[in-house]
Amino acid sequence: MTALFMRPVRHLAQVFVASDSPPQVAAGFTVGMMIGLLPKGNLVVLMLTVLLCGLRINKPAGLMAAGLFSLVGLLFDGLAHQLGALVLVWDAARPFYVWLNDLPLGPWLALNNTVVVGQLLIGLYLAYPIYWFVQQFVVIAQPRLTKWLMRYRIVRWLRGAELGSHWGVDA
Amino acid sequence: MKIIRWTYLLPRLAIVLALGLGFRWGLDPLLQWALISGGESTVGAKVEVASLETSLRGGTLVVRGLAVANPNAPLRNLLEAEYAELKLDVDALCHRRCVVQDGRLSGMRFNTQRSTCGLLEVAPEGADESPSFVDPWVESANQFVTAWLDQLDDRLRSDFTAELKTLQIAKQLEQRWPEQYAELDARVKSLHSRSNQLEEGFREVRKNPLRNLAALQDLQAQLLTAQTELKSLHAQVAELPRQAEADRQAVLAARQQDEKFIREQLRLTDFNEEGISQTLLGQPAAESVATALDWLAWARNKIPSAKAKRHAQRSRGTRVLFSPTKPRFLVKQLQLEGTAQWGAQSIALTGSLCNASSEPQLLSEPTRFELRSTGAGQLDIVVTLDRRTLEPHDHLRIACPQFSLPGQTLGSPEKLALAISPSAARLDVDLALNDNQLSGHITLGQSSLALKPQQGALGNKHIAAAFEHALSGLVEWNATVHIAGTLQEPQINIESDLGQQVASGLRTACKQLLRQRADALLAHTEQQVEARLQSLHQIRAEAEQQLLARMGEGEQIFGQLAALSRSGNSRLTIPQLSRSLRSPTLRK
Repeated sequence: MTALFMRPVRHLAQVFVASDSPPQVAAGFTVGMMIGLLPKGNLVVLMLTVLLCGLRINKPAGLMAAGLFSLVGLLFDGLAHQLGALVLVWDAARPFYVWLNDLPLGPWLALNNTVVVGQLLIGLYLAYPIYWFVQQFVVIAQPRLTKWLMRYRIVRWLRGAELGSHWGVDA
Repeated sequence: MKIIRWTYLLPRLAIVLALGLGFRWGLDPLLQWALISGGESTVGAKVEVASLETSLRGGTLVVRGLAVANPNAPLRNLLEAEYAELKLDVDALCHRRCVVQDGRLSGMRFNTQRSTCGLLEVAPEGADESPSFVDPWVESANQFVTAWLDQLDDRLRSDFTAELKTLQIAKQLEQRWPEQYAELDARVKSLHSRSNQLEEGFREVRKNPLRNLAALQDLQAQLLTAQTELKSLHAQVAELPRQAEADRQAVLAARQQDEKFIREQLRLTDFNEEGISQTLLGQPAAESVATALDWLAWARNKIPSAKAKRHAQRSRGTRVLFSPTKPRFLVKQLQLEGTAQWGAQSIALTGSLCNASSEPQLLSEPTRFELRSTGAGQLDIVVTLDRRTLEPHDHLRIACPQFSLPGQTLGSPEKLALAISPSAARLDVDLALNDNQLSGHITLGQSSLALKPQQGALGNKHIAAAFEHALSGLVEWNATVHIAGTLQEPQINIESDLGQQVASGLRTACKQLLRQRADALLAHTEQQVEARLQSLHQIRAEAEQQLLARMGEGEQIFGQLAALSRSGNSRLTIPQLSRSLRSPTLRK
């Protein structure tokens, strides 16, 4: 029961002190960013969430990014709408959109929504830069932060709890 | 390093699979619940489904034992169907739309009996208890018939004897003639008395003629006066036959007046053929129209229109449409099979429901409902509901060239009512509802029918017999109900030859009835008058004879006295006087 309530805190600590590699943390953060930017309630977000949970990438980083970019994404809605509208009314791509929309479960993708398309494009555009920066940041910051954080009993306890939960011990 | 976290994914996939299986097994009860809930909220009465099976692979939905209660009749079912199979478009389901590409609804029955109450526990908004639009109309027609029947009854019961001129004149004559006779008799008696006095006077004068010379001259003057009076009486008595003739002419004239008066009094106001049609057909027709319009209003209220407000989308951004918007729910085609009670017979029906949708404004074709009979009686029902524009257009067409109609009673049993025997009938309904404006007609005809007036209701057996006789020739009639106005305030007008035929028969029968009544009254009056006149004539003749006899005596005396008075320049000489006074008359 304690592990259940402590899990968010542990996840936060894991971002920096976990054994995941910097690319895993960066990938998790990037996927989380895209989840955060996109309006919810469509299959694209669901697929990204499955990716975040199903791939060996840092999930806490992804969840943190999703939460963060959900707030930031609202600020980009105007830009995303304009960008999405620009793309969606592009005549050359219209047959593709029609095909996409006519696919089974096509409407559930919500790829005819200006904000969804705009945020997806923004997310894709930012994906690699974000991935690279986060990876660089983690490479530099993770050892130092781990060393610094491990000085605190609470972090050690959290880390122990994490190990315990992995081994089936309810801390 | 393995990129996929199988330890995470596999348990979740197992959970998803379990959820999928649970959904599959729970889908049927879920859909059954959704069908019942949706149906009840739409119809406003209980909806029952015995079982429901789905096949996701084939996209089929099978419903058994469907019963939709009638919201206006708790123990009746609006529709009952044994079996329904719907072929769903799986692709459309993936697009968040429910499209029934093809379907079959069989074992349909309408207006069947229910064992339990079909009302929902939470009753819908209270029904409108305001009086129906037909009430004043039917009341007006009933008032007309009541007034007419009362008038007829009054005419037949009234006794005009006291108002007849002939009898009045006969009474006047009976009263006048004794007075006149008494006056003449008095004058004759007076004259006779005066003759006696004159005779007495002359006897006195005879005793001493010379001394009574002056008295003699006075008697002579009185004699002249009496003679004049006698002449006058003669003239009056001689006038009596002419007066009797004048009286007879007056009686004849009065009789003519009486005949005219009686005919006038027994004349009924002319038959209002339209009124009779409205009375006989008004209530059933108006009630049928009201029921049909109630259902139409109910259906219009339930069927979504283009005016319906779209729910605002709460999602961020704008949806770009790459293909025309399609309705969320659509029944492309649904084959219908069932039976219905039509008139007095049960008929097998087949038909179809096409383009029924939750957003009919998005369709290129209007919703169309067709039912056709396949058995003996021909019946075509076509309902078109067009919601493609802002103004809804509905059209109802029912054509049934022949069907059996059970016996029924038209009109009010308390007033003018006709019992109609079971007969063949035909029906044609063409009703359009454009926005809120009604237009159209309902034509109903009956043939091979027998009409009989309600014996107990009419009261007067003569009238009942006349009606029965009048209606014996009526074997066929047609009626057209013209409908206009709005759905809330419809106006109907009935055109029918039923009123004309009934009126024609009644006119003949009532004329005959009233003529008999008039003839009987006149004959009775004439009999009375004739008896009185006969009696009067007899009395008059006897009186005339008596008067003449009495006047004859006086005339003789006056003649002798006058003969004496006329000789010698109106002066009597002594010898003349002596002879005169010795005459036998004066010796009496």
